[in-house]
Amino acid sequence: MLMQTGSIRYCSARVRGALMVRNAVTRQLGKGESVKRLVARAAAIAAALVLVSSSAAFAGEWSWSGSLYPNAGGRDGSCIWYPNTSSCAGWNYWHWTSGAVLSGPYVKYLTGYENNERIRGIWLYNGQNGGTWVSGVDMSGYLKAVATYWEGAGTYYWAYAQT
Amino acid sequence: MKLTSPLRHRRRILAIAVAAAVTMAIAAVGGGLLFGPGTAQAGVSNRGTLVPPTLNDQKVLDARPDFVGEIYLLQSLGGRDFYRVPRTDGTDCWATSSNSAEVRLETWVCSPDFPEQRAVVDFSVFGADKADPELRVVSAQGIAADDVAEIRLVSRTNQRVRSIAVRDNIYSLRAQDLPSSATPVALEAVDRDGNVLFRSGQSSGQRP
Repeated sequence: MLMQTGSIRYCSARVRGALMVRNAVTRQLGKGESVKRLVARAAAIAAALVLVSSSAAFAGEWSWSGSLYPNAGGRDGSCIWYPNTSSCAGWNYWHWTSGAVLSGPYVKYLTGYENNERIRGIWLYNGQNGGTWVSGVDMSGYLKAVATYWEGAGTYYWAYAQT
Repeated sequence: MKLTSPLRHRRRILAIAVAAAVTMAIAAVGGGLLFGPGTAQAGVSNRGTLVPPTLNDQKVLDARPDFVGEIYLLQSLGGRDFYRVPRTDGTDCWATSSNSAEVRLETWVCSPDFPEQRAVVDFSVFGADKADPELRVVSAQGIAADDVAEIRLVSRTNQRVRSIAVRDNIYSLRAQDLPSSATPVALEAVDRDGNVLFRSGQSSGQRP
């Protein structure tokens, strides 16, 4: 039985934007550019980032890897529909999710989204990888991206979602 | 012992060579006609036409360095578009979209064993609702190998409730066209002889 690992990362667009502005300013000061032009350029970058980040309430991503085979321990109790054999992202306005069945001779996983009303996804079999936008499974709104083991021998699975 | 004359020997060799050449030509041009329909090659004849990616497609392409960066439109069927997405290793991934103006790679699957060991790449959506909590087919669509003749939807009681014709390696059935009398919970791909080449209920999904 494989040991499970789990990692969840949320990257804020605002944090990434602040780092970009700082790095740009540092590079230009090193080149001897005038402070006045530098401030104007930094302001332009900041304005563009505000336009980009304001289009999404919270920009984030989720990734998980491990085994969801029964009793493998990789399951996430916060998943709604199949908590004993699923791993899922937190609630968010997810755009697309993907998964990869990384090993195992015979296995099937459901990759998709869920909320309290319904679950929708596509099957991924051993050796396959793929993904879907929320619209691809006819869902929308505030959801959890979810990966669910369904049947077959235990295997390693990698899941990812992005807003 | 009677010796064979040189001329008779050469004529015999020539006859054998001609017979071999004719047999090879028949096999190359129409092997299916000679040996029967069940032996058709497991390929995907429809290669598609190059189309430009949308901005949303570029997000997926940027996240996948193994994608060449090209998208080929195979066909539009049942309100969906179907695509071939080449990979740098020479294999293909496959995709479908119900809204190609926004994103062509709305759903995509890469299956290195398709079509040799796997008869279909299935994009069918499966789901459950509070009102009907058992997982079922919500819409049926995918890419089929050349030897797949039709897709059959199967009910909980293992009855075949609907057939979907495969056209140019594509099958597609919208949610509103699903049978209402019996809920399909699985689908299977069959060849011209009725042999089941793929069933979504099988763990492996590979050819038997």
